Amino acid sequence: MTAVSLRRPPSGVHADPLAGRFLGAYLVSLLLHGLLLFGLAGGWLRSAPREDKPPVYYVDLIHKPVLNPQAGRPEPRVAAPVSTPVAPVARVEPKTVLPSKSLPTERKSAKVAAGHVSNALQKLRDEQALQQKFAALRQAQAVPIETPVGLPDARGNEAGVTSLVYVQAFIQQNWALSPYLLADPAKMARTEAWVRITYGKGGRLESFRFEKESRDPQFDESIKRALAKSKQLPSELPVRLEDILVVFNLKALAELRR
Amino acid sequence: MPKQPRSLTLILAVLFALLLLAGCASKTKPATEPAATPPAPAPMATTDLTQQPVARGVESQPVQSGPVADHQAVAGLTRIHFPYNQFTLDDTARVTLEQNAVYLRNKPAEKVAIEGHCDDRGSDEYNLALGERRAVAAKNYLVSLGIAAERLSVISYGEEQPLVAASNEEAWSKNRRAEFKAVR
Amino acid sequence: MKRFCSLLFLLLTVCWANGAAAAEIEISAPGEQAIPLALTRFLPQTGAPAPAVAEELNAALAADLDLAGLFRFLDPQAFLSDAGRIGLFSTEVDFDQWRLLGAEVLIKGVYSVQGEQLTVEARLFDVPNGRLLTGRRFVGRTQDVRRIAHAFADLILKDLTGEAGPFDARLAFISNRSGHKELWLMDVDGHNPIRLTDHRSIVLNPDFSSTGKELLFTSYRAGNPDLYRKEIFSGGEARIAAYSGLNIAGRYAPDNSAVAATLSRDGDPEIYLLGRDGALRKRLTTSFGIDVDPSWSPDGRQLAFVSSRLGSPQIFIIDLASGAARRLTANGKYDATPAWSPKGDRIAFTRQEGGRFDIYSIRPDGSDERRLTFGPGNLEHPRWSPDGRFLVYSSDAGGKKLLMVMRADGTGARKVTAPGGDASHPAWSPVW
Repeated sequence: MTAVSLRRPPSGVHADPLAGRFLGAYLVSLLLHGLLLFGLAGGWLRSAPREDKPPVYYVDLIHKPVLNPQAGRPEPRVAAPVSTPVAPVARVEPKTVLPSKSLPTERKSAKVAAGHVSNALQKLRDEQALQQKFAALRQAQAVPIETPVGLPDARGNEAGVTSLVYVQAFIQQNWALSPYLLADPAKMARTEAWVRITYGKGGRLESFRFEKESRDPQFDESIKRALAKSKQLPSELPVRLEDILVVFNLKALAELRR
Repeated sequence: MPKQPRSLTLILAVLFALLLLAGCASKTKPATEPAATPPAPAPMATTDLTQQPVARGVESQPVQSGPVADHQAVAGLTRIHFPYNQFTLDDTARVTLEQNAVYLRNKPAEKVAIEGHCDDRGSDEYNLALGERRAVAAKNYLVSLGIAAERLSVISYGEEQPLVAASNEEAWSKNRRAEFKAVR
Repeated sequence: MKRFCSLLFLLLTVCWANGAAAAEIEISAPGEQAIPLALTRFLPQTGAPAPAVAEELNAALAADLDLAGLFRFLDPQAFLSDAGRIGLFSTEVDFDQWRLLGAEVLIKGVYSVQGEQLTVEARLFDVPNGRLLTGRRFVGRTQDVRRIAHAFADLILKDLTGEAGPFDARLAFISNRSGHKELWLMDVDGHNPIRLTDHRSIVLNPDFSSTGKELLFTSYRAGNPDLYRKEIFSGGEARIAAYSGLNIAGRYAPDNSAVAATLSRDGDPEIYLLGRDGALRKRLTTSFGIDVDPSWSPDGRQLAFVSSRLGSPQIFIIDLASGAARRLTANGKYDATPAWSPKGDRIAFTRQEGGRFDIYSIRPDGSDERRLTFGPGNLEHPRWSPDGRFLVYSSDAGGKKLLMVMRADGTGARKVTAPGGDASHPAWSPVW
């Protein structure tokens, strides 16, 4: 009741104070719900595409870190145009392919008794059928895949990788941890440590600090060793990487060993 | 008395090992001088297998001949065989046991040890148990045929004493058996 | 209205802060699953060099560390000048040389032989951080060289994993090398075998007490499979259970307070609880089938055992307090010799399939069954190392029975027995 009496002065504009109060409460509720919905939807919208990102298939350290790496895979796979002409050739004119592919076999079969010739021919025919099957398979495989193969967040036109990917690959390469070192291998999938690192533009690891330690001292030790080995990147960075969160875990390893 | 120096050296070796451990445990201070114990020969280095007929045990009686030699196969008693991983008596085994019972009835003074055996497939301990079940099955059948239970003892050798030392179906079927040995 | 605006602002900022993707990297597997290790040759400190001693030290240490599976050994051919220098302190080691080779851990050491006395100083260094991890000075006799290496290997594992290795221990096993099946003892890597019994009969199935000072085994010495207890150092031996029928497969309780064994005194092989002196305490199983091969859980509250109550041998677990038994393995037709790991997390056993035994392991709740070996031959009698890292077992591949050791996940299998006779029924002692 005290709240009602306190609210009365500002809502006194209306003739019916009770209806005004209800309207006010209704508006507040509506607004708050709207905000909540907006916030949730916004968060979801922003996080959704990140989850849908195609997996990174490979990352190499041959490419230098650049500011604007090229996006994905612009052209279709190389295998497609190569294998398509092979298949019709094999199908349309099998006999031209036959001798060129198996000259030594034929020479041998000429030397052996005549009875073996038909055998050899049959063998060759089988081989050819197999080749055709392979070609068909290759063709089926060569259907363009929608998923881009390159870097997920690449937009630019420079040849190279993003600094983050570069640093990730470098640290991972320096991280050596035997599963036999873990205190509890059964908890492998749940072992995780968060480290904030800062790399200067020159590629020097300026600082690192554990934001969340795993419960496994050996796991944390191995990360410290990896970071000690990653003190200096082999290449300069296009930007300074400040307070990057590196999440170390063994999810992929646990998956592998399952 | 070859036994005493042995145990003495053993004790010395143990003492030495303890000293060594104590030395290991202290990292900073110099290790304990092993000179405190006279240089005893290591137990592992001096064990001569051929010249140790007497056990180093407390009850080191002269070794009797093994239990196998104790019991002689009885001419009138025929061994019986069993199916794989089974201790049930089939018809052939029953007939054999009935003949054995006739023999035992004619020789009321004879005491018999029934040995249960298995083929070498299967776990050793499980086979020891299985061998015993086979021997007990044979004994029970003989008892049911009127042989006094006191005359029959049971022992299992599991897969330790195969009749035929080979790993094939024929050897296995021969090795799955119960034997009857006279007890002296 | 102002209040609403500020609330809106607050909510929005919270949303933004949550949504704004802070630069983040996830590394979900190490680049290498083994630690690059540089194991240098031990160098003579004072006195004359003894290459044989250094050779033996390095070989025993390398074998232990290789079995541990933690390391990738760097090729000694690639070592630079620091490998030839004595370095017992981190200030004396040129870590840059080792960083260049990609080493993460470095083992250096020196030895000196004075008459019969052997002194070994061994060190383990962390290369990336350039610091000493652990080190110790060992003093012994020249014939203790392998023991020193094993003790240092245990220490290395202790430092790197927090749990010492099981290498400075012994294996008890049964060998017929002398013509009869007798109880033997040897190093974990198969060196220095000694015979413990002279029963000239059949000795079977040894088990160590948790102190490692006593062994339990079955012997036919008195004409019946009876249970014996033997003190290793005094040599004292006593027959503790000689009930009529079987007295086999004795296993010390984890606290040494009792013994579980299979007796058939009641006409049927069942599992009993005995005192350490063999006094009968309690019959644990009452099934009509065969019940053998008990193995204690590390807390001493449960026993895994083999029972044929469902026809074929299967592994069951009995709760000692309630007496309730449950079936553990459901997939095999013939499962035997369970061995509960000292950590309690898994039970190793053998399974016969296609006429051959292989080793498996399973969680005590019956989940996550894994096949660890794939032949050849019959692989039986798995027993755990005291740290639960390794399994020792017997193999008859190639005709002769011999002992093998592997990691608990089935990798790294290797022979441990020297040739000569058949070896079986291994048991791994606690750390000596």
